[in-house]
Amino acid sequence: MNRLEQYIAQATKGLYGKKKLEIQAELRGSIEARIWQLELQGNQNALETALLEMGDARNISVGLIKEHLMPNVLKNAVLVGIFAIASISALTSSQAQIQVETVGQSLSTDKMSMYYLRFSSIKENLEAAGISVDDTPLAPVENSVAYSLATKPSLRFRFPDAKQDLVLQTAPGFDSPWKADAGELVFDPKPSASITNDRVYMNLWSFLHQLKKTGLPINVEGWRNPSLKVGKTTLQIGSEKLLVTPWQLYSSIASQAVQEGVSEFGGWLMVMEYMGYEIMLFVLMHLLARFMQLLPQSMHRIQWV
Amino acid sequence: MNPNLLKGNLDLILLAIIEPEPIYGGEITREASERTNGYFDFKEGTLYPALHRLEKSGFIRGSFQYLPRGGSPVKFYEITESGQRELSAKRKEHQAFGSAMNSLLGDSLGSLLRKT
Repeated sequence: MNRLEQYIAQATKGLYGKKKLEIQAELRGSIEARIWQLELQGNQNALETALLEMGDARNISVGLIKEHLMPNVLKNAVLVGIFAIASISALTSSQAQIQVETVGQSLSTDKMSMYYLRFSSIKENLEAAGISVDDTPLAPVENSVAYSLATKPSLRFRFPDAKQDLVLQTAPGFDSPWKADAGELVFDPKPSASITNDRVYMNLWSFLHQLKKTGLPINVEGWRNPSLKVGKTTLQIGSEKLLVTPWQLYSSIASQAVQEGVSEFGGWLMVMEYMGYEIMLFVLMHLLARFMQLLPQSMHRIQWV
Repeated sequence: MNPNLLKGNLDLILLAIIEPEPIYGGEITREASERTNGYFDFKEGTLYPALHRLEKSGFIRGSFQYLPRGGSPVKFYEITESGQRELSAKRKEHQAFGSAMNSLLGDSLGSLLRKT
């Protein structure tokens, strides 16, 4: 990449898609035109002079992000807020709720709790709800990291009307497996060969992320131990012994939806880098959840679309 | 100059520069600087977002054009009818404000001179 392209890439960092290409073309055309003028004037260092006149590429990037990306970020955040209020419509579950074994673990850095679902419990309960399951390990992936060369234990659930199966696996990374050890959950870098014969758990957030891939409508209902409705199947995450903090489940859904919307515009990470915006988003989502707490019980619903 | 003054009048400045004939981004910066003897100096990160905002508002229209010299196409901006109306309104607004300020500052100066 030459100096001009490096500058253009830096100036449009954080933008995405067609808009990014269009702005890159605009900057390229404008700078090249200036270089041509400077060369006609006998400037021996026309490129550097033109870039100097343009100014710091990082400042251009920040300005462009504010203009093109931030309104979309806010729009998505507002949309989620609207969904929270608009999805008050009556939802009726045709099947009995099923209880997924869940454990909670406080994070040392703050008072938040993270929730983990036991793989075997997910399997037992979804099977009981009539969802077919395939536990054939996934085939190894060639030319990848060492771990991937081994077969990956997985569970593949086939929901009726789903665009694709729900696939849960103990691969390191986003779906990081966690193992119960002396009453405490610990990260398991070398997951067990079987995810159902051991006390292996997955993070609730990861579970929600995988559920979304099925294409089924996902709803959260209720305030005291809210339930998760996936298509026609209702999953009970918390229990009387372990009350899942409702605002966290609501905000998990809302935050995931917002992040997803933002990533369509490609700037989520860049916005975080430039604006420290994740803090604002976090606060917004939790305010939303707190706001929902004020609503009557029958209105405690949010739909992830 | 006070950057807030530039920021507050940015739309008026850009529309006034674009009004006579289609012009591209880099030329707008130089035009603003030359016509004001270097008084208006757009900081990086100000010009393009402002142009894109005006374009989204429908006050200017951008189109890529190839120049006879060749090379990459250049995006030229031209003012639209609604941009003309906006410019006219902003000019009147600015003139009224400037006139009021002159009266105020003129009176202040006059009274100051009378006291001395």
